[in-house]
Formats: sequence, C-alpha cells, structure tokens
Amino acid sequence: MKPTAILEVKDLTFRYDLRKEEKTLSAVSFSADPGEWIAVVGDNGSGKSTLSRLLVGLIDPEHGTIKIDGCVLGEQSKWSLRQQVGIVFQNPENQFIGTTVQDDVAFGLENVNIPFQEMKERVEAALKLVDMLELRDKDPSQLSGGQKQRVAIAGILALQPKLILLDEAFVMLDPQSRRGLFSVLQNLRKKQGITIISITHDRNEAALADRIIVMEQGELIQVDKPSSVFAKQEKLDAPFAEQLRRNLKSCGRNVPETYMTEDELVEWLCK
Amino acid sequence: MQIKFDHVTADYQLGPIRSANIIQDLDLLLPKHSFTAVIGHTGAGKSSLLKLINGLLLPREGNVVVGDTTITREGNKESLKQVRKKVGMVFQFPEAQLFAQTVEEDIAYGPMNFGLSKEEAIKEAQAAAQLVGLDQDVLKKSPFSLSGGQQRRVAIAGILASNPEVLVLDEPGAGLDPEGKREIMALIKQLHEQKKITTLLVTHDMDDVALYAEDVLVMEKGSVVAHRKVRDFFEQLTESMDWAIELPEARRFQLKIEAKTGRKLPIVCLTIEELTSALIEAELV
Ligand SMILES: Nc1ncnc2c1ncn2[C@@H]1O[C@H](COP(=O)(O)OP(=O)(O)OP(=O)(O)O)[C@@H](O)[C@H]1O
Ligand SMILES: Nc1ncnc2c1ncn2[C@@H]1O[C@H](COP(=O)(O)OP(=O)(O)O)[C@@H](O)[C@H]1O
Ligand SMILES: [Mg+2]
Ligand SMILES: [Mg+2]
Repeated sequence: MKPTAILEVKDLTFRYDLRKEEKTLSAVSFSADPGEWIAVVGDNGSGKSTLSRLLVGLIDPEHGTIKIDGCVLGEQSKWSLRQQVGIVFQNPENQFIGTTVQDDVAFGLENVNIPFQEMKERVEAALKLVDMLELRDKDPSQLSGGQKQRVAIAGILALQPKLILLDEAFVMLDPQSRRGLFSVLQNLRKKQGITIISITHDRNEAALADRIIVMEQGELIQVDKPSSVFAKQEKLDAPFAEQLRRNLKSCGRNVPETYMTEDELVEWLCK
Repeated sequence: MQIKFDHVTADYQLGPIRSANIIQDLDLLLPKHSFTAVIGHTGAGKSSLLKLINGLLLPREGNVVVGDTTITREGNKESLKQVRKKVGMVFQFPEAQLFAQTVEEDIAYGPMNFGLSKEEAIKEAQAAAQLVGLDQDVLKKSPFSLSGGQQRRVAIAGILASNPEVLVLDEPGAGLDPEGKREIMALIKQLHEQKKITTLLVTHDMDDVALYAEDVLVMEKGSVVAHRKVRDFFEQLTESMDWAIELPEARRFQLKIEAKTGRKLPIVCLTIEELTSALIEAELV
C-alpha cells in the first residue's frame, strides 16, 4: 500500500506583485511521501525559493493548497505546522537570533513544549551531528560562512521536524562537510522517515534523490526519477557520468543510447 | 601586482578579549598576474586571508605587502586607502549588499567613494557594466528587480568600476545556476587575462580550480599547507588524500576506472575533455 503523503501541494499559484499579470509560481502540484528525498532544480529566478517560502507559510498563496501531514496549511495551523517543517535558507547571514551558537539552536525549540533537560540534549546532539559542538559558546555572527550554514542546519535538526526543506543549504560548505551532512541527513531519513526536499544546483546531488522536481519560469515542468529527468531535460546540466557518456557519443563512440548513472557507466567501460 | 605575506599572524580582537590566532605565522608570495585558487575546510581561514589583503583585517604580527604598499598592525590610514583602491574584494553573496535605487548608482558608488566626481563615476560604471556583460537598459533598473546571476554581475561591476589591479573573490559562483556560474567564472578568467588582474579565488568546487586557476593554495587551521601549480597538485594528490581534498570530477572518475581495470590511462585527466580523449586513446570505448 502507498503510504499517505506527508506533503501535498495542489495548484499553488503566487505573485509578489499583484499589479502584474505575470505569476511567480503558476499551478504547481506535487506530493511527497514520508522518507522521500526530493531534489528541486531550475535556473535562478525559476521560483524555487518562492516555493520553499510558501511551504513554510512565510508567504501565502494566491490559489491552491498545501497539506502537511494531512493538515491544510493556513493562518490557524501555521504555527503548529512550523514544528513539522524545518527550513534552512540559502544565505545564512541574518538568520541568527541567539548570542551564542548554542542559544541559537535552542531558540527554535522554545515554542515546542519540551522539558529543559531534553532541550539541552537535543541541542547538543544536533551540534554534534553538524560537527559544531566545540564552537557552541561562540557568537554566531563571528563564524565563517560554512560554520554559519552548519549552525542553521543544527537548528533544524534539533527541532526534529517531519519535513526538512533545504534551500541551497550546502553551497558554502567544503566538499567534505557537504558529504558528511549529506550522510547525516540520509541516516535520519532512513531511521526516522524524515522527508527531505532539497533545492540544489548540484547535479550529482540531485542524481541521488528519489525524485527530481524541475522548475522553469514558475512552472513545475517535470517531477520524476533522476534517470527520466536527465534523459528528458536536455537543457539541464547532467551529472558528470552522463555528460561523459554524451561526450563519448558525440565522438562517434558506440556507447548506450540512454541515460547512465555513474556506476552503470563505470561498469560498461570496464566490461 | 605582487602580494607578499611576511610572517603574518592575525586574529579578530573583540574588545579586550582576544580570539585564538586565525592566521598563523604565514609566509606567502603571489606573483603579479597570477590566478590562485584558495581551498580548505570551513573555518580554515580563507576569507580571513582575503581580508588581510585589502586591510579589512590587520596583521597582529608581520606585514602584508600589496604592490609597493605595506600593511602593518598599526594600519596606517594612507596605506589602507591605497590598498583598498588597488584590491577589489567580492564577498560571499555580494548581491546582499546592493542598496541603490538603480544599477548605475550602485556600480558608481565605489569610484565616487574613492573621490571621482559623479559624472566620472557614472562613466566608469557604464564601462564596468559593459565589461561584465550587463545591457545598457539594465542600468536604470532597480538592482532588486534582477535575477540572481545579474545581481552578482552588478556586484562585481561595482568592484571593477574602481579599476582594481588585484581581485579577490569569495566563492563568486555560489548559488548561481550552472549556466550563470560558468558565465561568471569565464568573466573572471577573461578579466584576469585581458586586464592582467592578479586574481585570488576562494572556492569549494575543484572543477573550478582545475578549469580556471593556475595555482592552488590549501589552507588548514590558519596556515598554508600547500601552494602549487594546479596540475602538479592534482597529479600528486591521489588516494592518499593528504588534506581530505576532493578531486576534480574527471580525475575522480579516472581513478575509479583505473582501480577497476587495473590499467593506467595515458594522462592525468583534470577535465571532461581530457578524460574523453584518454578513454578513447586507451581503447576502453
Ligand atoms: N568576525 C570574526 N570574529 C571572530 N572570529 C571570526 C570572525 N570571522 C571569522 N572568525 C573565525 O575565524 C576562523 C576562520 O574564518 P574564515 O571566515 O576565514 O574561514 P573560511 O576558511 O573562509 O571558512 P568558510 O569556507 O566556512 O567560509 C573561523 O574559526 C571563524 O570562526
Ligand atoms: N521578495 C521578493 N519580492 C519580489 N519579487 C521577488 C522576491 N523574491 C523573489 N522574487 C522574484 O520571483 C521570481 C522567483 O524567484 P525565486 O523564488 O527567488 O527563484 P529561485 O529561488 O528559483 O532562484 C524571480 O523573478 C524573483 O526576481
Ligand atoms: Mg533561490
Ligand atoms: Mg569564508
């Protein structure tokens, strides 16, 4: 049986400027299952961040509905649903409220009714997961770019939401930290069934998702598994292995005709 | 313009409290017209290194010499002024600092700040806009109405309008879509070649290092642990992974193939083009 969706988005339409005809998002619909990893890709300005702001109720849609865990997102439900959905923004500047790293991570928990002891434990565990425990007494404004980004991610992990939205949350991280956090999130997903929606320009990261959403000028033009998306969207930069396959093809080599993952191509080359 | 670090130690002083050293006894020579990529973990001191070059952070010991200007711990006003004029600095997410009503005013702000009249500054702004490939009709628009990639160009144009001889950039491609990123990187490379700008680029993307830089500088805990030609660096960096540095995609893929077939490809491949020809030459395809 198919599990009930954790997120259902129907017909989502939005304009920043109501005087203009042009829509920032038009009729976006999709759903996400518990434990699913969905990557969102698309050019700058295609509406990805707008979509994420709508999903956490920072802005309200003109049309359409968002259902989180079966509950429609609206004025009333917004506050309780914020505990279910955590978001990490693109640019971690100005996202900090606390005067120490640890306070900042705890801040998100203040609206959640949990005993102090548990709060403390959660904050520590989250800081440990992002490898920032050592810097917990530092002033967040004095951190390096990548450290800020990790604190922002810890804030979300401490909240233990059912759905995590990452709006290019890995851009300022070095490759090693990126890989580390990626596997932390993968583990949470497997163990606790957390759903992850990750907006990214990294094609190799997107290729690892269960499904990819492709945005273009405010419209969702495809949502499907990576192999189908990269096979169909020729304008999209493909993952490295697929680019290599295409290069070999255009050099007149006898490679398979369709999309290949890295493992498939390696296997094929070494046959 | 040459940049020299002579036994530089630096920290961020917070009132009476002194933080641990952020930069540790650093010696460094960046020859004029060089293009250096700076890589390393988060918190390694990359951005701090850039800030030392334009005097936003002052050395506590030692000195930084940019061209013929020396920055010391006293931070002599006149030399700081000279250095800031020569060194253009593009911060992480520079578009967050756009503020003016129009793109033109925003770009002209720098040169006006350095003492040009409004008229002259606007002229410089127009030239800089052209240099970064912004259309004339964009100049009168609000910077906030532009796309992310265009805003990044405006921010870079604002730096170029002061005609810097050194350009230091902190992850200029971050947050841009692949096309936009390629355009910005190509622009930086072109400026380096045409205007002979000494360029220092912080990046986490090893493909950028392989494609655009000539030298690579690895930072770790406030020190430089390697400073080499890009090709030499990646050729020597194999499985050992001394500083847990990622390899460019092509090289990583190559090692995977070599491990599996037990055969070495004819050359060390740093780009997809090199890998394509090497695979063909080795008759693996
Ligand atoms: N304004 C500041 N005050 C105090 N400490 C700071 C300040 N800015 C940075 N630091 C500290 O200095 C060290 C080096 O920071 P820096 O910003 O140079 O790192 P980075 O290599 O650029 O990292 P990233 O890749 O994350 O941007 C870090 O430990 C950081 O916490
Ligand atoms: N706060 C805002 N006010 C007005 N327009 C905005 C705002 N944020 C984004 N936009 C516009 O909405 C469109 C979609 O932007 P965004 O969702 O940020 O795209 P993406 O995240 O895919 O780059 C763009 O045309 C952008 O200029
Ligand atoms: Mg965005
Ligand atoms: Mg930095």
